Amino acid sequence: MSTSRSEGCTLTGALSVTTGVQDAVTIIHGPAGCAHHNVSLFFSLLHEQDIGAIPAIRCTDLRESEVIFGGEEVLEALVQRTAREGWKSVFVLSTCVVDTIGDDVEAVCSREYGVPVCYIPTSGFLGGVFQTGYENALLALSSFACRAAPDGTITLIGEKNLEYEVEENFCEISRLLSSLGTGIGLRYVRNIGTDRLAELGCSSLNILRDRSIGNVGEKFQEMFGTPYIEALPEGFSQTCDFLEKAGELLGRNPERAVDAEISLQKRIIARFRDLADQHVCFWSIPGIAGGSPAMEEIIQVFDLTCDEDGICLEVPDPFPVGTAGMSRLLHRWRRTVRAVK
Amino acid sequence: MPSNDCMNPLWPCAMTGAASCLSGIRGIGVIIHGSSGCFFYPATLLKTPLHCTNLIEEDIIFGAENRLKRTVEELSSEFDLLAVIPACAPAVTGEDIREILSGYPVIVIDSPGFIGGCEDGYTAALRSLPCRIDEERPGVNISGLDQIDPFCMGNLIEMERILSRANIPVAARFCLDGLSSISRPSPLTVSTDPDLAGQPGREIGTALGLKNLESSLTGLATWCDDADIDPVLDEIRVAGEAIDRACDKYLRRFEPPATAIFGGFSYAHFAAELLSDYLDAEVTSIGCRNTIRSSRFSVEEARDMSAVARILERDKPGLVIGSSFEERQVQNAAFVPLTFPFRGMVRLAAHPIAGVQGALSFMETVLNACMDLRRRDCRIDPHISLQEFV
Repeated sequence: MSTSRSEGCTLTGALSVTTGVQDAVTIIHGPAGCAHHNVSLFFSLLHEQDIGAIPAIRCTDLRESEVIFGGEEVLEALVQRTAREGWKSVFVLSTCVVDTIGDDVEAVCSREYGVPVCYIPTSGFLGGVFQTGYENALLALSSFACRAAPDGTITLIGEKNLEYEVEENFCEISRLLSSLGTGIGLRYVRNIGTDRLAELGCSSLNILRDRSIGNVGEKFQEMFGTPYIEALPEGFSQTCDFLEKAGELLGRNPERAVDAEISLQKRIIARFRDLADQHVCFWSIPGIAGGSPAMEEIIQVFDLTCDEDGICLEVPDPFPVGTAGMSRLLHRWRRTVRAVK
Repeated sequence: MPSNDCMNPLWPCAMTGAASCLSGIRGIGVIIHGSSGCFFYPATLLKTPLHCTNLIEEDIIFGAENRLKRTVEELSSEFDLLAVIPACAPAVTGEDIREILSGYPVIVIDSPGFIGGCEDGYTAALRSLPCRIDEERPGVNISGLDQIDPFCMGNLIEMERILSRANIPVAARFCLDGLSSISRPSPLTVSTDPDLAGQPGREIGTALGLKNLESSLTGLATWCDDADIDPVLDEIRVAGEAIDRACDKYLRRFEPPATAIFGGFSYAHFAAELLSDYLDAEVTSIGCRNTIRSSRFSVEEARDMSAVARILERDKPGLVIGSSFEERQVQNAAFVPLTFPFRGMVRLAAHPIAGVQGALSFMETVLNACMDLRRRDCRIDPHISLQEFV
């Protein structure tokens, strides 16, 4: 039972995963308002990412009569109709009102419809928070995976599809892996078709978006024997550590890649030399990256003095990924420093 | 088998509508009695302070009574009145919230998300307000002001201007006003959006469209002794002539656009009348987000994206009026924003849709959008316009 009161709805977390499957439709079994809240959110955030298409989010549009008499029939009818329309898979999410009235969504989804119908337990806030929905969806979609011998591919697990910099983070990880002579084979789950979900089972290495889904990495290691790196790297040192770890797990010598990365990082640090010796204070949302190893590293590298009256620099959430992320962050901070001075 | 089906629904729920109505009233603290997930949407949409009981599973199992009481107690010193809006799950569990909160300065709005769209919630909230008509209060109330609506502030400013010119005092502003004003409205109301009904008193008419505005002002003049509506009637006449001239000039070069309009019934109908009357445009369809009423135009439901796509594919309009959802679907047509939400465009000023300036502003935007499209087309192929005429 979740005790967090301010982390949003499981539906949004689950949708942030299921809408990454392009030939699938996600059905929200609940009132149209629940679906609209998410459609509106996705529309807005995807607009920011310059993505025009709105993912297919369908809804049983529960009204007062279904709340009184039950909504299983309307769900079954909608799944049947959806299955006939040529979608490759159907994901079904439950809402808090459906959980409260006691609809057996799992039973409805377990019937035969001619296409895979995957129930993801969400139940709105009665099922947890955003993170619960996100994790449950990542785990539920693994039912499409086929267990097979590792084929040398790398899978990126749990990209946050609503994140503003999601593509930039992917590019950075691809750049780092290319320096090892390899790349991401599967983005689980972003811009893929249902058939590609099967490839999860033959990955040689899983890279998790962040530590919050360590449980998912563990589970996939149990299920498929796939080793994993627990997070995308934050900061200069972690980026080099990432290269070493990936090289080790893939059986590739990372030495040249690490040397090249260190050289790049030195050039970037030199470009921001004017940030050195500043008196600064860092602002972050409580519990976020402030005080992380990456922040400690920045303080050391630029010999910054932390001071309550110093220039207030925002520590973004999520923290930027890799060397390229650090460069963008340093640009933002330098802009702030110049504005204050 | 029943056939509920909704692909990418485009309209907010009743709970959001109720929050939107009440959060515009100074002196009322709005509490969403539900989870943070239900709270985030209206909170980010309205950008006004809202409060929430932030329910979790154990509150539904063991009861949320104490949590609700504690939230009310914490806020009661800050506000004259608190409004509790139960979300879907607490509304279903059957807790008697009025009984639980008896003795507190609280109203409870029965508008969980599943009862309908945002207008249903807005109306439910209006009817729950402690309003008593003050027969002695001079002037006229303005209704239909909803913070979800991008034209809300523009409409208020325009109506205050018009009524001031007509020497008619403004009484209560539903719902952008203080609680003390809202609670004692005058007997007469003029509406900026008839979809948002429910305030007490007699609605004298609407300010949407020049003809309706003229008729409403004429009606008001019979009730308000000191009213002098002639300056505004002159303004309406001049505005009508200006629109007429601009449309006539447009029609000398171009065919009127076949137009599909999407939005709440009243705004969409207003747009259809202006386009039909002044530009002789064919309104292929009004895609209605809320309750459909009688109309001389073809009106159908368009509450979700599949309905919008179907209408656009069928009608292939040259002009689309609606929200960003429609804009995203439009390819070779001009687009004019009318309906929430507006995304991907900067809007800083308070644009009206009601009143004289509302009609002028709307037609100006329509004509410019259509001419921009023509110019764009001409850059691609200078013969396109000619071919169309041929």
